[in-house]
Amino acid sequence: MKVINMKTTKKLTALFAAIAITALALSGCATNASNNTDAMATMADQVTVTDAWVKEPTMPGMTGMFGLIENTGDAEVVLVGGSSDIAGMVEVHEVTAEGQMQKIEGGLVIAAGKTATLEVGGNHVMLMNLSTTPAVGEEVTVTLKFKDGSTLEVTAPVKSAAGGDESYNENAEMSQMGN
Amino acid sequence: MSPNDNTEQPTGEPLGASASDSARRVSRRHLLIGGAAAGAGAVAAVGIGAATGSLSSQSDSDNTGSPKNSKEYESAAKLFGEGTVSPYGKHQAGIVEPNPLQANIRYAAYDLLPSTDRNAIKRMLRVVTGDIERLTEGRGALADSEPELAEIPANLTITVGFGAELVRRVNPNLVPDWLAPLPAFTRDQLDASYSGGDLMLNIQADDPLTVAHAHRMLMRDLASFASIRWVQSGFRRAAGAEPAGTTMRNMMGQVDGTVNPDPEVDEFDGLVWETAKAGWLAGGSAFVLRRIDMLLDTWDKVARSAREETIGRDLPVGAPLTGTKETDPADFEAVNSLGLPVIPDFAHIRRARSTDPNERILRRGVNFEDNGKAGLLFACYQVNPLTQFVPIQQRLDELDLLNQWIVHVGSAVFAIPPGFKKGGFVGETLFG
Ligand code: HEM
Ligand SMILES: [Cu+2]
Repeated sequence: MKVINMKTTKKLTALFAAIAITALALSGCATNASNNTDAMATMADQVTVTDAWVKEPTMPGMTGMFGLIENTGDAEVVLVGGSSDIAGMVEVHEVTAEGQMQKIEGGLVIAAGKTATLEVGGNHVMLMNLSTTPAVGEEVTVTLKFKDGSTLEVTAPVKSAAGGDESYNENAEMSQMGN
Repeated sequence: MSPNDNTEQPTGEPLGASASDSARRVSRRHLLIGGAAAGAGAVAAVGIGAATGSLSSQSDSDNTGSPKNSKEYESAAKLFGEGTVSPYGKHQAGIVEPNPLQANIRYAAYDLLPSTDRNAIKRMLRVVTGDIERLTEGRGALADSEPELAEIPANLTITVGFGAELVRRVNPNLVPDWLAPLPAFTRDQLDASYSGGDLMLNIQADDPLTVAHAHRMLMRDLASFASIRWVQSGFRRAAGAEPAGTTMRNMMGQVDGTVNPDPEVDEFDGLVWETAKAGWLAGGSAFVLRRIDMLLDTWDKVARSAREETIGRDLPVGAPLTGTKETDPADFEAVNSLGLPVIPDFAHIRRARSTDPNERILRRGVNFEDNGKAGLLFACYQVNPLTQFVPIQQRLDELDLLNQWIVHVGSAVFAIPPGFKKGGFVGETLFG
């Protein structure tokens, strides 16, 4: 009995939520039509970032931010860089087949409806020239910058990651980047 | 979790959940009124009958394409591995919820690093809370390198406890007087490697891999704050192995956990849950863990009747020697034809029973078996160990025939902070 009641309540809640969203969308249309067309939406507007975290630095002066960047829009978005209070330089990096990391030329392209995974050993947002060393449990704010100039602020907790060294091979290129 | 939270958990159960699964989420006392109407082709899980496997009566082969035996029913229905328990509420999860408790239990104690000060403790607890929230939902921890292992939450709960040193580093004025090593008992043979600790995690789930993975994630996050002191793992019967609500058996074969305060019958506030008097701990509890070795080789040589007299209860069903059913009240006045008490003076239940109703504890024992030893991880919750656990253990220490076959080898006391809400973190009241 209990179980059934709970289900019903949940379904109803979901239904009301759906109605509420529709109403919101409609009113949005009526009051601010210019902001509601896809053509006008900025890249930042159509992006959702989840599960963001910053790795506890294991090398002096630099670390990475990871997470999921979902393009919820109809057009591709391109992440080109960013900024942060704690970093002098923020770049979008990839890791080559040889395990070296480098700036992604032209930025990270995320097709419409796709999600880019930023992960240790793969693509990441590189925070360089750190002014402080963020400690585990602290929150770091990073402003992501897209190709059209739009920006998105992301707050990410600092976590330690095991085996993170795979993407931070101390190679010449890497230490150059840090400087 | 407060009773109000019951409907919140576990989440997402489809209709036609397996019998054992449905029974799990209905507390033992509600079994008879439990049961769910089901859609076409789904199995209606109804009360005890379903829980004890009477589904097999519907399972004779037919040609309608429906499952042919109870195994197929099980696989067609929801798996217990999908079960989740909300970490939020007035009290931390893993103490009275879920009911029944999970099958695989791990206690892990940590020592804080010298550098872990008040601010670092706050950061540490936030990270731990983030892990608890995600893992108990069946999502990988942030930065989880094996997120697939988190996909089977199996009713995972992670309960956090604080040793005196942690509280002292946050605020020396907030250390409860009982948060210290217990007074020594004459028979104790304590081993430091199973005792003490500044921070305790109790990780419980119905799947051992879930427990191991959750602990690995937490251990990694704790690495910059604390070092591991000890880990003690225990187990009950596997989930679904017996009807929900069955009292567990310990390694001596006894039904263990019969006489225990019940949140649906007893007032837990002031007995198990700390009240407003306890300040930051209100809604929390005081936790005692005793590692007790069992000398099973000599116990096994004891005649069955003597084993039953040692406890004061029988072995087949755990009935008091003055009764026939597990739930029969023990009659401590009854005498046999020789005029001797039926439940002997040295019997464990006579010695453990107090006439003072405040001198009760919520027992949460589990079995352990490792390094060639077996025994009981005796765990209990109360508001004050000095007025609840200690007087009981003093009586047992003085006289209890069971002492011939058990040795207390580990001891630890932790303050269990209250539960927390979404957006908050475990132990936040300490920083108030
Ligand atoms: C390996 C050690 C132990 C074993 C094997 C054991 C076993 C049992 C068993 C079989 C029962 C009867 C069933 C039940 O009501 O649960 C029982 C009852 C009880 N035990 Fe233990 N026990 C042990 C240690 C302890 C300790 C250390 C304490 C507390 C200091 C304790 C406190 C109690 C209490 C309060 C009861 C209920 C008594 C009543 O009111 O009927 N036990 N125990
Ligand atoms: Cu990089």
